[in-house]
Amino acid sequence: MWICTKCKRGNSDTVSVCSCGAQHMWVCATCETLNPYSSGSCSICGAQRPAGQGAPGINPAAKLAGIPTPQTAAAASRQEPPQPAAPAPAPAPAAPAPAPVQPPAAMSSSSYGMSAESEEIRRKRKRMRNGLIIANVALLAVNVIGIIIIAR
Amino acid sequence: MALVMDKRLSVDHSNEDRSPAEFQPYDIGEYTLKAPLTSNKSGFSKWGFCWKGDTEFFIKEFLSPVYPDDSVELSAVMRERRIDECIRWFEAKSRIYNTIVQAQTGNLVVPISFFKYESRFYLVTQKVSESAMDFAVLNRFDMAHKLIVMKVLANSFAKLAERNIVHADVKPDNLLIKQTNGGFFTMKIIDFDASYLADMPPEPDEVQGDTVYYAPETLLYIIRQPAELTPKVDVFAMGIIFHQVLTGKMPQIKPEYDYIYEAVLSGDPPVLEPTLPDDYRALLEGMLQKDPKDRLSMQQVFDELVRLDGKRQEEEAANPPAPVPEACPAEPEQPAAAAESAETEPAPAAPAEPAQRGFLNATDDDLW
Repeated sequence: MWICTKCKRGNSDTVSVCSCGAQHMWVCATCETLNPYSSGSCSICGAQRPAGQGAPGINPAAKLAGIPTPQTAAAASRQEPPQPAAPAPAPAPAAPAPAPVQPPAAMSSSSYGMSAESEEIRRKRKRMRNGLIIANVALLAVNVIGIIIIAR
Repeated sequence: MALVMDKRLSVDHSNEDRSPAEFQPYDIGEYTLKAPLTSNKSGFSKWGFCWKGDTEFFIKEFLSPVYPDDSVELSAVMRERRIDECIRWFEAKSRIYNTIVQAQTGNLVVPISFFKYESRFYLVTQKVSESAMDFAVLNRFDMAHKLIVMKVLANSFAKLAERNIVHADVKPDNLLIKQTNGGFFTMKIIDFDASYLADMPPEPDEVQGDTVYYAPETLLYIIRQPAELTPKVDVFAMGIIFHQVLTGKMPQIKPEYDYIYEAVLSGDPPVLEPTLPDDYRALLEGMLQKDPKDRLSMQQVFDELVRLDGKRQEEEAANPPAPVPEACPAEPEQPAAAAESAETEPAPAAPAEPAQRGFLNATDDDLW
């Protein structure tokens, strides 16, 4: 049973489209893209559809190489019960899975389009600041010359 | 999405200007504001965060238009005119917001509620995680993850283009990098304030956006030359963004030009980074065409990215990177309990190993 996010009606698992026309979607845990429930993997990053929403994403590079990572192992254990009769697939030649991104030290809070200045504005401000410095130096020089003239 | 125009009890807006210590929480419709709204670096609105139940949202208060309530002394004619203006503005915005909601890809930060409260108009959207990071960090991702980021963006903008929506303010500030489960990243597209439907473009003097990312036809339209604003405007801006993602730099233009659109209009296309491989160069050149008719559509860009990702995977499968003796065998032996914990919190940062191909330790040579 799944609940349509559009009309809130319950639908059987055997149908992927609600009677209101909305499609049953799942959210990829890796890239947060909405995918039709009929699709077993994410159309953007290739992560497998988890058994439940919020399951960890599947590392695309590891998936490509067939390497079980902690995430894939956990997802697989939730998705399918072990099948003793089936031979285990041989792991593909191993490419090490990319390590999760380590957040850089300089994190900025979310800007919502209003906090960060554009490169252009920064450049113009820099130019303006340089101009002000030059003007101040020139003014100082004029003052010094004026004082010298008056002193003589 | 709730789109309502109604009148509620009066709100003391002077409260907003008090310091956070003196601030008294108050309700804006169904939402409770617990901290003052700020106009920090926002020209046309005030913004902040509000709560509904246990959930925190982003809220924006439009400074204009202001609905003339009964306390404002206006002639009947003027009041009618102001009200008409507000209704027209609200209906136009509602139409755009509703269309954006229909284009949802999962990575568009779409309006949740757009409403009038007292004499002001408000927009509520999902609050994006505060783990949003600086755009420059994208250049440190390896190619596989750069491609995911670019595909997420291309897919979202293709869905907007499908519904004839022009975002019109594509720039790094409006593309938030969000950390997802397991330490992965995705992109969230925000700020549809400048957006319009291609069949209802704004007046030339009302076009918004960042001049750094303007398409050539945007300038032509502003100076009232024959030009049409279509979703290809976003493709041009995205061409510049993709160049930044791939190389960490803006495309180069001659010093006599201030902006890329200026160089393109003058017949001096920007010089792309020499280290870009031919496939990516061709893609970016296709996105940065002067004539929108010659420019790739966002769907074509997405299809090309899918092709390039497939090619990359084939090449990687054919020439797997040198195995890391210690890291590889250790992975399958991770205890299940540790794996489960990854569901609720990002995986702990692994110590960087020089030979390991991670998101952030790829060198320029690795990328291609």
